[in-house]
Amino acid sequence: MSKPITVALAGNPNSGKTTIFNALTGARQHVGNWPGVTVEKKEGTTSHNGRVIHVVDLPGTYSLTALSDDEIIARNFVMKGDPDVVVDVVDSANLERNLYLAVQLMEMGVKVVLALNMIDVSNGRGWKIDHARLAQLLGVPIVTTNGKKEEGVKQLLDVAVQEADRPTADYSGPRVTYGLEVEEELGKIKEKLEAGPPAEDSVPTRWLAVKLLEGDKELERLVEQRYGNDGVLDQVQRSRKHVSEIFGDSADIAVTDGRYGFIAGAVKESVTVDRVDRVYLSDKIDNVLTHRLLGPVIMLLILYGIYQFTFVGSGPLVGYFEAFFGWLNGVATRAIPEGLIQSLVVSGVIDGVGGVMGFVPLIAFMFFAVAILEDTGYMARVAFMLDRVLKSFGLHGSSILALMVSGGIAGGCAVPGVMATRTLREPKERLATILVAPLLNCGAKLPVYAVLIAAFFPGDKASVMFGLTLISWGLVLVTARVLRSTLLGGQSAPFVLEMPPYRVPTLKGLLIHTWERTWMYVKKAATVILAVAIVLWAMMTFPSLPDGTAKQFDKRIEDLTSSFLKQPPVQSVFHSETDIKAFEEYQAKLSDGKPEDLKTENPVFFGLASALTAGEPKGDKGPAGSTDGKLEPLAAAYTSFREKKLAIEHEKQTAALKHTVAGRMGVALEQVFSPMNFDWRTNIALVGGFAAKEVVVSTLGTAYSLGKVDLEETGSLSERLRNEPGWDPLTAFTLILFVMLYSPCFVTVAVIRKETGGWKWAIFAMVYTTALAYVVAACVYSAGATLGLGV
Amino acid sequence: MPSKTKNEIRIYRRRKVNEEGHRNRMGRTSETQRLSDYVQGQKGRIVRVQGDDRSRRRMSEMGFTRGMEVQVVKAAPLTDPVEYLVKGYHVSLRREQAAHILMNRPDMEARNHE
Repeated sequence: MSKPITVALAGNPNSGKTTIFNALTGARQHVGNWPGVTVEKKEGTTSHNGRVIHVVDLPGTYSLTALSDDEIIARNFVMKGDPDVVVDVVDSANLERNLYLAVQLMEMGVKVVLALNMIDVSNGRGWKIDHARLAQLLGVPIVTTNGKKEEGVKQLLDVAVQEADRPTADYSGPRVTYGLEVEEELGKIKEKLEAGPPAEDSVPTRWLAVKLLEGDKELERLVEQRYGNDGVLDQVQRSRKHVSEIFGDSADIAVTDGRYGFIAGAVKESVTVDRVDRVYLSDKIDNVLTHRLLGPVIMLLILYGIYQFTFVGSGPLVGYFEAFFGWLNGVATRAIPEGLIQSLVVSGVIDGVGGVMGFVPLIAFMFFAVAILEDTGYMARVAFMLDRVLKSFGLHGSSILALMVSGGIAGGCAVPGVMATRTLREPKERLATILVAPLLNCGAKLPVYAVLIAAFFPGDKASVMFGLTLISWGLVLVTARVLRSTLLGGQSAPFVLEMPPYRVPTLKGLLIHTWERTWMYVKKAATVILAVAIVLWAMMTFPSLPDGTAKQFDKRIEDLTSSFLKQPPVQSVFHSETDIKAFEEYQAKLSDGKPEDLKTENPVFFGLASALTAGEPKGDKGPAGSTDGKLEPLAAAYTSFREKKLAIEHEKQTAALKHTVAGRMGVALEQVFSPMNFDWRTNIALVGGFAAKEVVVSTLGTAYSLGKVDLEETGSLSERLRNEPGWDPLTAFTLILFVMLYSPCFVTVAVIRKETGGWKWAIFAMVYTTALAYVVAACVYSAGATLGLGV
Repeated sequence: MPSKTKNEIRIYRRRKVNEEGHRNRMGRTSETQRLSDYVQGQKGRIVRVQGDDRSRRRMSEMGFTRGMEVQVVKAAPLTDPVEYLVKGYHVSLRREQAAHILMNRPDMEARNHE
């Protein structure tokens, strides 16, 4: 009796199926994908009275007609996966439509248990469901549940185990009858089927006959394989024709009618309505939230609130993550001796993966907000209100959330944006949304804009940013339109959007939702992203400068040092290079604190350090009052020495960068990018920007010999670019547009691959966005140059 | 469609609908009316669901079957899609989709509020 049981959990979308699944399995869940498709597969294990129960959550579907991936998956699992019992979660406040799926499951000849869920809601509406009677009429056991309060879950498992253990016998209970004419034709098809070879699976021939009459293409193929062309399908054709002539509508509609007729009869006999509430609370809420004028205003406020919650709310946590990786960076730098290994670990692995993991809190917050929208039922209303606008561009009302999160308000992120398209059921609209989302102004593009705006459009920051937001939205909508009338053209799935009643979500449900989606992202960061980070690091490191060239730079530094040491005011304090190093270390210690101890340790160094800080405008932080005039010439000499040395070091970095693979690509790309006047430095930055767009800024810094540029302090880079020959406002604006549009960062590409189920669309996204960026940038530059704008 | 006035669009849509009506063997008669032409608050029964196989199938599975009662709840702020009440639950359809559903004459006249 201790054989483990497999339970398949079926149900309509919005039936509370997920809540029941969570109540059954708790946190012992595993999320994966169904083989070959991108539909989420959730599994979990629980034990009940010592029995191990394996629960497989089927995709939420309204039917099993093989019209969508979801339906095919659900049906094939029931047909071939051999669940011992199927638990169908039924929203008791929406009984008739929910029973449609139940009836189809029963027709398949599998053991079905109905979980009459949300019984509190239907009770509250004054409906009395005589479930004993309903069970008798349908011929399946029924358990009432309230998933939110986890009521009825134990009984549900009791009954499921009982059913699973019941010996399979020919089903003799009530079944759907389709009326004389249809039944006659079903009989004929069944006869032909039974004349063929015996089936190896347990699919009842009656069900097969019904599905064939309905015109199920999948099963037609299956029958053709099994029986060859021996007249089954011909009979089906004849029957379909006959039924449609008699019925006045096609055979599949006749079958649907028959099922709904059967359901209506059962419901009529088992449900009594105590009172008729004219208006439910949910409808009252809806009257406000989808009001002609108020609705859109409230929606904008809510969308803005999500944006704030995601990007501002997660701010402190993102800060902790960044601080952690900064700390790790420091530890690794100290622990590993300077050289290639250190560079690989610090610049490649820690900075690469850290940059990506820094997004984790942000993504978790975004998913939490999305879970609230979904679980309350508000998401359907957003789609309802915006569908008209998005439809005209070939998108779907539900696309809006993904676009907002991706940077519809400047500062989003395409990674959670692309993931948020999961709420879209129509494949073509979903794909179009995924492909255009990266064109929006994500947070990583903002530092690039900031540098260039500060350099070339000072004073116009707000209007330029607003303009960029409009440009990106315009391109998103136009691109979507173009995609939907070319590559993703053709008829789209019918728009049938259920508007579920508003519900209060459970914290447990929200957290599970958030956790499982966030975890998928983290797993990705650990694999694909690590690999790409290392490749990009290698591209920007190798080949290193030839020894001769490197030595020339070192020689210049040596010369500089020795001439510094020869100066008379210097000689009193610094005798050799070792003394300079000692002073640098002393300064580092000084900035860590405890100035008093250090003062006694080395009063001369202390004086020099004070003189140096006194020279800076923010000198009040340094140990004040100890500057005597004597050290000033030394301080001046030291400052000039430091500046010259840094300049040489940065020059060396620039030369090294130009020598690497990325640098050579940058030089080679000068030809390609000549229409928009990008030089090799810009091109390297763009190559690096594929890792993450903010890298464009730091790479530009290295390329322009400024050392690593801190994202918060970009003033020096702005100034440098403004004074650089070859840079003008037009070049800057062209570069902004190019950065906005060109290839999504590699994390986004990895997520697109995951969400679209293959490299095809991920590569397409990289290629088409880069082509679009190129065309737009080239056009803008040549138009601007011709008109003499901004040059 | 900034180049077309509202009226032109309406006429264009009518014409398109009429052409489809002629094509359909069992198209609408004077006794029937399209669900898309129902106004807020009106309800009536489905006479026939038209359109291609795929969308007809989907509609019927969602409860839009012959003889079923459908009531217009409200239109979206931009007038499309429209929310309906069928089999006791709420569902919204785009107008182009609702135009495929032939209804009998509505049971009640439109409520005037809103």
